[in-house]
Amino acid sequence: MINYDDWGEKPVPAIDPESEPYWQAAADERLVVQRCRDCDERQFYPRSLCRHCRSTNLTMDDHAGEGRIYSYTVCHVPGQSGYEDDVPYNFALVDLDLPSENPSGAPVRLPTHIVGTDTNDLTIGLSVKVKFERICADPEIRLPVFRPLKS
Amino acid sequence: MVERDAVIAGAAESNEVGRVPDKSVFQLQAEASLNALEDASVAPEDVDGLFIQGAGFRDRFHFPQVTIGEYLGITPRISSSNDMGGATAYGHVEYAKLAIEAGVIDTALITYGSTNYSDRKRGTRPNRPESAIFNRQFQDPYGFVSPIAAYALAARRYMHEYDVSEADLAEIAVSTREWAKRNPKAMMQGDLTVEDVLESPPVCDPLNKLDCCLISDAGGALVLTPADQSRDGASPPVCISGLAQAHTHDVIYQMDDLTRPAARRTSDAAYEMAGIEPSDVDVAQLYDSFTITTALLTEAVGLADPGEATALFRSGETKPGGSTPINTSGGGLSYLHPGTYGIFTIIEAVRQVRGTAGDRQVPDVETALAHGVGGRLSTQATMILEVAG
Repeated sequence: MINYDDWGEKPVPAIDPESEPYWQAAADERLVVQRCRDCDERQFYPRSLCRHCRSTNLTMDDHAGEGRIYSYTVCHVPGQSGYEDDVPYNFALVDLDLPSENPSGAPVRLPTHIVGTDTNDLTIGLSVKVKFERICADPEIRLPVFRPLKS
Repeated sequence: MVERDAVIAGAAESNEVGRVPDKSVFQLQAEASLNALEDASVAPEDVDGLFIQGAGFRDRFHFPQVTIGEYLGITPRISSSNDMGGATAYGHVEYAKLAIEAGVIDTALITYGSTNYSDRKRGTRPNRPESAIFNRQFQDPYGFVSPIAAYALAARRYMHEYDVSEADLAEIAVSTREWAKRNPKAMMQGDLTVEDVLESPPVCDPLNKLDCCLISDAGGALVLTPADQSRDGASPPVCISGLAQAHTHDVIYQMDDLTRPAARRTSDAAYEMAGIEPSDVDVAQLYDSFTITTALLTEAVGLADPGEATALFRSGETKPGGSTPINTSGGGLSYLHPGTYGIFTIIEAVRQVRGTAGDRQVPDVETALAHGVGGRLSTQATMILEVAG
């Protein structure tokens, strides 16, 4: 179990001008997804232009934070500093539910941890919902993780 | 524009490979380069195109090909350190080939070196992103293990989509080890069973240690020249009849379908250039960073239907004596795997086409396929090699 209250030496996102809206929303416990106003592509990670049509007419929409596990792995070696005492831990890819398919066909896919469940209960396709963990105080960054969605 | 074809005239690795603690990465590249130049009967001062890839250079040298040129005493007409990880050598071949065929250069030297094994022993970390910046800021805080977690995610997804088990993937390691037994330079030559693979320590589930490539020291090099410049003493030249490269993403979470790498499009393009089909391939070298890599590539290059790669390996047809020999050097899984392995897939393909692969020679090879991968299934490149003339 990863202790989010004691983040230690684990990596902290280096927030930049393109990612700031995402992390600012996360600090408010809101998950936001970037959308292109010209072609309706929803994309992650947020960037300065649409990956599909290269427009810069972009906005950030609130998202309910629900999705499904696309894949996962259980790491038995620490991949980053600060993870030495946490092995084994899971690393997963979650596809966010979208009201309509992207024009590019691409998913909105977040790397993340799955929390609140035993490793043995991880399955592809599992419905999950975002929750935010506070990992450090300055700046106040909240890290999105996902828990199983009780049906 | 001069009209001429480029050929691979020289191919060689460093004198020693595997565990070589007393040679620097510069030295390994130099050894490989000089061996390849000799194989091509070309003098180092004739090199006018220099293409390098060097693990560990990127964060210590601003323009690593300038550093290598200085070390080798070569002042080239054109150079590149275009790095695509495991597929870099293919990219270098493409640019060298273009440059030769365009008449810009006459002699290209492509080199690679890594002391990934000894660096770890010395306590020097190979090149890794040091902080969670740019696209890694969304990934690394969660403890991403680079690169194996990416391949583990692909394996888990592949197993789910095609009802494939860990034991099925292990067949790839078992098959590849049979070839390594015939390669005197291979690091691993002992018997290997599916049980051995399954019982080896887990790294990133579902991949265990023996699903993963080795960590080695080695250098590798190729020399390309025009086809019509035969040199006394040179080994038989090899034609590049198909070559294509692609990169679709950097980080794994930007890959749309983890079971469908861009190897499909690069092999389609290479086959079309060569005017052949998958059934024409006599021997294939498919980058095997992990057993899942080989499985995905076997399918992407058309040697097995989607989901059927592990069945092919289990059938014995990929082993010595089989109809679909794959990874005849023993691969990254059992022969060697320095920081990256791409150039060695090409060297082995060259040898198979020339008929100089010794105990692991596949009979009657006319057409060899080699495929390189880099990053997190990020870069892909396919090459078709045939006897020249």
